[in-house]
Amino acid sequence: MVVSLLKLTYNELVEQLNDDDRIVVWTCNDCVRYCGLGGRDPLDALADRLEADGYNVIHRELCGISCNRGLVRNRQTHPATKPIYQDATVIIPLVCREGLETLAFVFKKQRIIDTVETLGLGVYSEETGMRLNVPLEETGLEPSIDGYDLAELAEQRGLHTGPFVAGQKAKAK
Amino acid sequence: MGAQTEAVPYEEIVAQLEPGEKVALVTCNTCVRVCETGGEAFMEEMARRLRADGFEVTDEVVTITACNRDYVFDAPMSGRQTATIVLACDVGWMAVVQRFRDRKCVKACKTTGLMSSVPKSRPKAGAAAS
Repeated sequence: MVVSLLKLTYNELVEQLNDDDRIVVWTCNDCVRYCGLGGRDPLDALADRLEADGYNVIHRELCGISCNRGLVRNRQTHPATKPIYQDATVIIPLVCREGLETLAFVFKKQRIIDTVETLGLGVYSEETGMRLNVPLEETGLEPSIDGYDLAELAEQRGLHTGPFVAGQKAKAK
Repeated sequence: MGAQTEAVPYEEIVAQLEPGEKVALVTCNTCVRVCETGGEAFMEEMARRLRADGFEVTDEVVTITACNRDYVFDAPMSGRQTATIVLACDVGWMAVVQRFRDRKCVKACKTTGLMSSVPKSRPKAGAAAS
């Protein structure tokens, strides 16, 4: 699975929003769910918090895998969601880097907030949670059979473990 | 999803085996299936070739995602193998290594990157083979 951490805190995220933005909160439901920063619960927690803080969340999108361009484009063109995406001004993605770039490719008229840093590939288990095992070259880390702890990596690199809004840890089923 | 892979040539895989060795096959059924470097059909073909070449294939296992270690650890296997050939990306291979630390684990796939959207980002080389 792809291992990602958040670049922003909630407060840093909302600094990039305008009062009149029409917001879509978008989450992938695969790798980022195992990383604890995406999936249904973090999606709802973030959208609820934004609404409570006065922002206009017009849609919450749960997409099975956001690195599949066909699935993403389907949201853009399907009659049920097309008007939403024509109206939206900004998308907040809870996805990995690949998902973010796919969103940016498909939704050219909306701002896509750059929320995540992808660090490489990892192994998940209920016992250990997600760990980073095969880091990307730019991390400077070596591959590791037993992997790196995400909380330690976040602290070392000025990143953040998910989710944006505390108390709604994602659970892999 | 996410790992982009290339198939390791069959000859390079069997070069890491002893003649007549007992071999288990484990394949992921997600990214490598999309990349056409793994999945059930590829595993069955490899098992056929291994048997034809005199190896004993003890197990053929399909996991949904090999990077979820729980699937790998829970997969029923005979435990008779001395080598496991892994049709998965590097992290899938690592999950199998975590289960069979005292036995040979041979990569049948080479991880070349993350899928399509991040072409410049490559995993670190040197996730040691077998």
